[in-house]
Amino acid sequence: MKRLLVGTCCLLVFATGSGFADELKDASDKLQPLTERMTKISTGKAADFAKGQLATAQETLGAAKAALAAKNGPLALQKTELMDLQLTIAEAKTAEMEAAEQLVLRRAELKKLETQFDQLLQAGGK
Amino acid sequence: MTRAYIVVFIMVSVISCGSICCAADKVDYPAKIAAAKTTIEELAAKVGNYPQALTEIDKARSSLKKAEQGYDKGRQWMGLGGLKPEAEQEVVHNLQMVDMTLVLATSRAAAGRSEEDVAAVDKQLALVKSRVKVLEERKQSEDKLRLDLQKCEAASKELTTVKAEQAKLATQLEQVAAEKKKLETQIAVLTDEKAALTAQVETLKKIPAAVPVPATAPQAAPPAAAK
Repeated sequence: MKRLLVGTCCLLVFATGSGFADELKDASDKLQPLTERMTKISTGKAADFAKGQLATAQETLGAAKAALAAKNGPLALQKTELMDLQLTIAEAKTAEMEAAEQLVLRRAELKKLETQFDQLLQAGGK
Repeated sequence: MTRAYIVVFIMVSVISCGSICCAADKVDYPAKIAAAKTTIEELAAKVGNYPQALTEIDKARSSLKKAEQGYDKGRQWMGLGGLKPEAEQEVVHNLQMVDMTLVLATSRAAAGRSEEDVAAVDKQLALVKSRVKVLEERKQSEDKLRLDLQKCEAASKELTTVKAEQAKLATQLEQVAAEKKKLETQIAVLTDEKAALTAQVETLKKIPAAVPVPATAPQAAPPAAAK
């Protein structure tokens, strides 16, 4: 009976340990592509348009590395997930700002054309 | 027996007080979850019909569900002892994910709105461009017509001058013709006179030399008189 109990305990400890090791490996695997993605985003327009989001993602990257160093698999995974989302937000913010910029440009172009149209109409009326 | 009841009562009171104190220190996750739910639904109502934003709203709902499940699973001692640390970490993470996903949904909706506006402005641009083109073409043809008109006016002036010149020349020509006719008539008369005189000279040459000389003096007089 005692042996059975000890065996079960060992199995439980082993299972928990292997679960944690899996999460650590997952987090570690995700960290590299995320870091590369962040570097890529930082070199683009996001550096201007989503400065805040990139800084937050950088902080999360630090937290994920700390969690990995502390062998805290679940936390490291959560941080990588969070960082992924923050980078997506940075990209979305950039796209949003670019679309807004395009809108401003097009409106300016439209205004210019409307002025030209009015001038032509006035010139035609004379 | 009574003492035992008192001891049990004191123990229960101590445990309750302890758990209430602990609960007061802990974060009120149900309230946070409820607030997140309200925020999601409010945003879903005003985010508009942008597929990307709606997808993010769905993801936020899914994260909220995970937070709820994590909270329900992680409660200890029928809710008296708060949350297990790992469950709390999961709930906090999922609530953070909800917040971030809502930020993403807002951004996607704003981008979608801007793109829609750009498309609308593009349509308007195309319309105004075509109108401007028509007006420009009309202006160009008008300018060309104006230039032609100026040329025509110049040509017309020139024509008037030429006509006046022609009329003047025609008058001069008539005068010259009349003069010519007059001179021709005079020439004819003189030619006749010359012929007559020549005939007289011939006649006189044929008269014999016995004819007295003084007669030659009156002979020279008729040509002068004819002139």
